[in-house]
Amino acid sequence: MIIREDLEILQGQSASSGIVIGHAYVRKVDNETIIPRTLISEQNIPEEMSRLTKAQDMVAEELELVRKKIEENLGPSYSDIISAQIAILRDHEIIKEVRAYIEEHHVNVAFAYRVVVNQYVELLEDHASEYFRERVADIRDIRQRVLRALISKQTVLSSLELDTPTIFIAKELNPADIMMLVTENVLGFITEFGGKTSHASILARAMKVPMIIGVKDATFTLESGQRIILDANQGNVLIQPSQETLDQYAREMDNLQAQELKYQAESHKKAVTQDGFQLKLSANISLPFEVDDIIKYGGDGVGLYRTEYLYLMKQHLPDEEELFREYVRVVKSLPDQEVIIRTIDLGGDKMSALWDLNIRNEANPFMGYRAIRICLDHPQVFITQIRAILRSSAFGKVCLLIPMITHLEQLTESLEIIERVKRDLEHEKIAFDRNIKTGIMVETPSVVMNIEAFAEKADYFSIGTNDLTQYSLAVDRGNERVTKIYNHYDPAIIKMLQKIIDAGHRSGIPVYICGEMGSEEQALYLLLAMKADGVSVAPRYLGTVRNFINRQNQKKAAKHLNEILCMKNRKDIIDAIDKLIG
Amino acid sequence: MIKKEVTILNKQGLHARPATALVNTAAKYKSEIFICRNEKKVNGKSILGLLVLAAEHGAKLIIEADGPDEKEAVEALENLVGDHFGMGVNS
Repeated sequence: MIIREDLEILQGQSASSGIVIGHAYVRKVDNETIIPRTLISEQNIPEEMSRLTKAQDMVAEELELVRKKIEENLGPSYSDIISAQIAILRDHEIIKEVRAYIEEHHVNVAFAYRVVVNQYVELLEDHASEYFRERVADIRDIRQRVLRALISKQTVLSSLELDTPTIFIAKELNPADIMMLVTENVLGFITEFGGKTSHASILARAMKVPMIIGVKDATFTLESGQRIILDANQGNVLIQPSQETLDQYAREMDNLQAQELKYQAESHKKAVTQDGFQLKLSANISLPFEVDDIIKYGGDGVGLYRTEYLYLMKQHLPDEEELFREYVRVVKSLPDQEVIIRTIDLGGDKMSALWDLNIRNEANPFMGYRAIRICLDHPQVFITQIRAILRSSAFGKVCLLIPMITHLEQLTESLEIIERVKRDLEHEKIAFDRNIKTGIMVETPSVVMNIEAFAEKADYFSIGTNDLTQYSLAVDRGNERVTKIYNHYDPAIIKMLQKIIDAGHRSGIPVYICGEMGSEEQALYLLLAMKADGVSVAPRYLGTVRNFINRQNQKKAAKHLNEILCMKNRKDIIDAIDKLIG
Repeated sequence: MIKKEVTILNKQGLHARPATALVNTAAKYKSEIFICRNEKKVNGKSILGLLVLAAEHGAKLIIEADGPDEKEAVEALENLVGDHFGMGVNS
């Protein structure tokens, strides 16, 4: 889309895609509200204390609402964060300490509350454990909510009075903010800080609310009341757009919607080329309810179920029952389709918060302590997850997928553990699918170079093109200075894909692609030519990808494959495919 | 007053969920309950207090109860800690 140059645009990173138009509401710096210290008389103490009770009730009511919303939308396992906040809010000893402070100093309750809670914040702030330092954020948030309720007699929600479609802008947002605001006329979010895997971002994606993070000085540059376009597909915030731009966007949104309806109407179709070559077209999901989109747009099950989010959303390591409930929900809602569940692919930095591993600030986290490396060091964590996955396999067609493998011993060891768990389950007379397939993510160059050895042991391959490209080209995609070097149409990557698919087929095992590449037309054309067995894409791309495949001819694509594999430059490869697609 | 030493068995330590379970149990008793670790002593009925202890896996805590039902209180808390706070032996 062409955007007029005189328009003011802020840029950030998309944390949840979509386009919305609305009025800005900017939450100015509010984390350190000035609390006046006023003296009160002895007989006013009961009145002050009852104000505190009322404020706590108001906040509790609001948090209970949030808890209910999270449980309805994501399931009960995801509301731990809120439960912990409610427990902190209702701490009786804090109330006693506040009363004691007021009795001694004869000050207003807001001042006393802040002094008392701050003592705890300070004690935890410099704690060595990341977990306890993170709890400080919960305590600060509760302090802020209670103080706001005490001073303005308003909670976050009641103070907004959002009667027009709103785009909410803040320095940072927490999960409770997101859940409370989405039902209150808030169409989208913009923040200055936050990461794509933060709780708030996960929830925004889950609730399908567009969100852009990392917009520098957003709370300073934007003003409440301004009309803005939040284009989270591009990561752009357009300030006070002209009527022309608004019309342009309105048309774009109409087109997107019309297209979506068209794809939904085709949901029964298969991903077959004109000459009858069928690809397994499945979806990548992170949360159970995303299955709804697979049913809506049509697809062959789940090609990649990322299981990290339950671990990230919880305040503790999830137990077997929690994991089982989560997986079985997905498996049962797709009764005749394959569900490929990948074991945790978390970095040490994320896991350390869960069980005090004391791993922080690795200089090179992508090459550090993560995924299968952690699981094999901490077999109990791995076994708990394997048990839950195996148990869910009794209810449908489940496959196991192991990420971040670099050498064969890791696969051998993983398979041994899986066998041991199977024997345990048999012994305990717990049902599971004895023929469950175990595959590996092919995402490191070392596996590609030794691919035949892995093809003998794995039941299938799933190529993670994002990581494979990053590791092969030695490019950190998050680093602005080198992102332009990242390109999966590099001749080296194309040759790797061919090598993996060939090796898989020689051993009679299927090869799937689950990276972002699978939703690009040029890549799909290549993968058809190479006879890949399937691609797995984000649910919202299912329609587009199927539609593209339906228009192609596999034999025609295959004719030009050798020619493309001989090309030496990236540009030649892209140009050649573009020309072939027409 | 009764004192009793216990060890935190949960791998993740005395985090929010076990701490909440401890507070809920302690609150059932009339006695005053304190939990001590090294030189720190906090109220056993306060989740914030317990978090401040930042007791990791293997940490030794002293449960202190003083009041009419001190014996029952200490016993109940000792069982709770020994039972991994009801979160399962793998927690």
